[in-house]
Amino acid sequence: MDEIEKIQHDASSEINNVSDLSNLEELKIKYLGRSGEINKLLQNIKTVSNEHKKEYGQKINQLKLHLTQLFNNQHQKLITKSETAQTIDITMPGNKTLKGSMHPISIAITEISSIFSKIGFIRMSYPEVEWEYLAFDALNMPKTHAARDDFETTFLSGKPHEKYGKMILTPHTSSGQIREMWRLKKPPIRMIDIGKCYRPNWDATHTPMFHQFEGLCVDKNINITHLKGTLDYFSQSYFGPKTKTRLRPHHFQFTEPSFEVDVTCTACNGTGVGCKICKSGWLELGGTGIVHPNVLKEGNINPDEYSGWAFGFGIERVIMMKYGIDDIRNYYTGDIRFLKQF
Amino acid sequence: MGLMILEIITLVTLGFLNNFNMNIKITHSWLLEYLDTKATPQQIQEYLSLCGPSVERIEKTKDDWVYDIEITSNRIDTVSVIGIAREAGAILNRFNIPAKFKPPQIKIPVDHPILPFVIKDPKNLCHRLMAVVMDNVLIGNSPEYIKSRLLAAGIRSLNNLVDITNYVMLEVGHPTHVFDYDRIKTNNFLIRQAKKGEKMTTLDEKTYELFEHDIVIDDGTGKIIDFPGIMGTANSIVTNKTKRIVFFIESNDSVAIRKSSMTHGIRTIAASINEKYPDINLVKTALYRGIELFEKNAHAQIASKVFDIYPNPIKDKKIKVSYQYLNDRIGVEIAKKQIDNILVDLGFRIYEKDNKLEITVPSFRSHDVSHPEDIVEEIARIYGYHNIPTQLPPMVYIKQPEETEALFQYQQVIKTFLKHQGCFETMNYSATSQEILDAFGLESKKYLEITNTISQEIKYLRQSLIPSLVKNIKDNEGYQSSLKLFEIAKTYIPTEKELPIENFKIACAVNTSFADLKGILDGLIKELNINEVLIEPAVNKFFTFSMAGEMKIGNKVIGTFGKISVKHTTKLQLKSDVFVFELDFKTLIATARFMPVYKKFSQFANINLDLTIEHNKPYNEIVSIAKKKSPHLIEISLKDQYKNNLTLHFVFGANDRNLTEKEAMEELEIIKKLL
Repeated sequence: MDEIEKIQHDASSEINNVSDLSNLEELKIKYLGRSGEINKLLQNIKTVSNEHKKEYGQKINQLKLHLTQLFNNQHQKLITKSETAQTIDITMPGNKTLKGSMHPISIAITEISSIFSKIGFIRMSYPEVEWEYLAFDALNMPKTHAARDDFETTFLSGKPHEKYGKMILTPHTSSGQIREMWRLKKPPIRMIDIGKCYRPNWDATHTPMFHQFEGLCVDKNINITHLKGTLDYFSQSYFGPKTKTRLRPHHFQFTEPSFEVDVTCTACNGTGVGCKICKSGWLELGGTGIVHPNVLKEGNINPDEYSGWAFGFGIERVIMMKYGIDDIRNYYTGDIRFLKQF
Repeated sequence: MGLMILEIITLVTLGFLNNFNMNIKITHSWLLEYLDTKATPQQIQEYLSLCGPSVERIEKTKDDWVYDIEITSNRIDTVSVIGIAREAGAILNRFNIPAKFKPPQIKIPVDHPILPFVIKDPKNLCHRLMAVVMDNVLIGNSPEYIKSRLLAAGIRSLNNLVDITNYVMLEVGHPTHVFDYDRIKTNNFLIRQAKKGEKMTTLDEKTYELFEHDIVIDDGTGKIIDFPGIMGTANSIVTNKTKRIVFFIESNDSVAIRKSSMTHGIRTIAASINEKYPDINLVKTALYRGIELFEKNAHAQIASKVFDIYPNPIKDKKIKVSYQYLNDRIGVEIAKKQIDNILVDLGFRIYEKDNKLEITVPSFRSHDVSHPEDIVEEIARIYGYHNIPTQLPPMVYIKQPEETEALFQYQQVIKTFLKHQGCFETMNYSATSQEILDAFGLESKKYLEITNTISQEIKYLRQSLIPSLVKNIKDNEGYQSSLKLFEIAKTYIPTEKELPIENFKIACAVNTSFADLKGILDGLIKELNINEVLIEPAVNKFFTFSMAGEMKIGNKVIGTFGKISVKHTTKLQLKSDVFVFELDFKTLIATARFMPVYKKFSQFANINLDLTIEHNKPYNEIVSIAKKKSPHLIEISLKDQYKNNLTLHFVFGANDRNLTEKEAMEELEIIKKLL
């Protein structure tokens, strides 16, 4: 009997003095475990006389209930204590992880190629150093065309080609149109050609190197409706679902008809009200048009059987329109103050 | 001839190669002299922009409106009040706004051969020459309406004589010029090519040295009295003492004008128009209109015959096209009647037979409209691009070449990986300078060179990305102390006869430590799941002899890495050391995998042991000895490095049972002896 009381006494004080949960768990095993004190007492029941057996059993049961109660209380107490004891400044920064960046041009290229791949346009890459013939003649730009002179085209020291003329840095991705026609030999063609282009201009709004993405679609019965549909799809995917486009008459040698595409201004949502960025709600996206029959012929495609459209847009320009990054000169200086923002 | 130097608008960042467009400014009241309409300036702006020339801005003046209109190079017929009025006449009606073009009504001048005057163009350098001598001119101010219209156009009013030439140019769309008859003593105009080195002073008192491709007017004595089509010369222009004038208009060779204007940097409005094939028939309209104004505003009287030297008159151009073709290309059924009306309103003459059209192109469109596609454009734009429905092209599958697909996919993987290693992607110009090549001891003659570069900074096409990245580090030294940069770009290796080989390279530069660079390189190889790479010491012109290596897969060199030699860094005045690797992209990804090779992991426990040894063998040799000698070695890695000691971490294990610690210790002992 004394033993029961002793255990009760010891256990109670031990439980109350326990200060953490793992010690409490140990204590629980010590008393209530398979070979704990309670079970030991129960084993002793055979030494108790028959008349006291019942009473002995009841006492042990009471003790067990009592201790369980104490354990539960103490458990609750300790949990409450540990939940409130630990206070830290949760506004402190965590351990640093590494963070570099991808160039905004790379980010935009990923976005743009993904948008076009969904409608079956494959991304291609064509030479940046090109023959005059592919960059101009094949695109219906005669030898006398103003774009071909020293002030607009970057010429290289490489030996001229007998057939294709001087070596140049391509002023547009449009030379990729001919190369894709040559590669596939016959339509259908669905291409998005993204690459670096070069023109001898260097001022606040021009860099001598820039990026373009060139779309080309050639198939049977392609007409203006397909061009408009694609431009709407791209503009809404890239600039946002509410974006509208419009075509305005324009002139390029390698398309006929030629258009300039405007999209509703991303800054004022096309309202134009008090907008410092757009001209009356619209922003110019770039040039596009129906592929000129002479260009198809250069690509060995019969213009009576097939027709197509093409566009060439500046990546720096679409980034500016979408994200407002307008200081184009920072793009190619490698300035860490620019790069680390992305 | 216009005195104003015109700003050429080339919208380079827009994409498609643009065609040297220009802007003109004309007023609403002037437009209404050739257009009957009640349309508001706002309506004219909106509808013209949608279907014709782009009206970029409208501006209210005291009692008028000014339109600022972009003229594309093919539509030089619209670079005038009359041209815009014709377009508006065709366009506004489609928006249910009545409008009618009023063609100019000009009286035909009568010859009065009183004063001697001779024009000669023996080599036919001009397509057409028209001129008239006028006597008794009264020089003075222009009437207010001329002054204000010129002002609105951005042209300063000088005197009634010069103002008329500018006024006629803006109204009719062809440049014109007026000379002082008495200052040309010989009464002779000889059109000829300039001699190389010949000098000429233009009316703005600037002197130019000419080339043989320049075309000039000579007074018959060898003296240059004009730079036709571009700018007048100081020795023949009208002065406030002028009594008699030669009013002179020529249709120039556009290519020659462009070349002369650009080489000398004389960008007048006249040159900008003359280089774009203005209508040859406008020479006459402009001359007649000018005569009318000289008579009215300067009391001038015709004192010669009206010269017209036009040896090869242009012929009518005809285009045949079917209605069905037009509808197919536009994608809409447009009524025949509507198509006919559009063409007639635009000045085309049509003849219909069997659902086909024979279209005669007006002379003012003869340089611009030559194919059935051009007719598609005319119909579609006036019908209204906004009225054409939209749809996506029919879906088809085109196979992207595997090589191309891999190129872009791995670029993305690698850029993402490097970004998360704290590296910043840079994009540098594809060309570099002599100075940079010199700093790295590279010979410029082995490089493709930009022969007409606009800056010495970008003259030689890169064959390695390393110099640019080192320069990036240098340029950023003041902004950030620790730098990790990378670039993926093409290099251009010249070939004998063909285009250069354009290969993508990937390069990474850090200014922190060799181990940092090597860690990024090792990590990249792991990220790409490339298995066996070999590292060997290498000699490389960029790197310090003792800190340079190359990386190989089998016997293929992927690239090199090392510390940039002090020889180079001192030339660039770099404060810190720079460590760089550069790999060939194609070789790098040749054995790369998106998914690593999966190996079954052992069900049994592994034994982990560490060993510290002296670093007196290359690390890769240590690894290879350990792997060769220990059958149960699963993994070996560098745990720590202190002075000349390396602490290595070994993992031993067996596939079929629990390896005992004793067994592992025994294997480690064997390795230890050999190291």
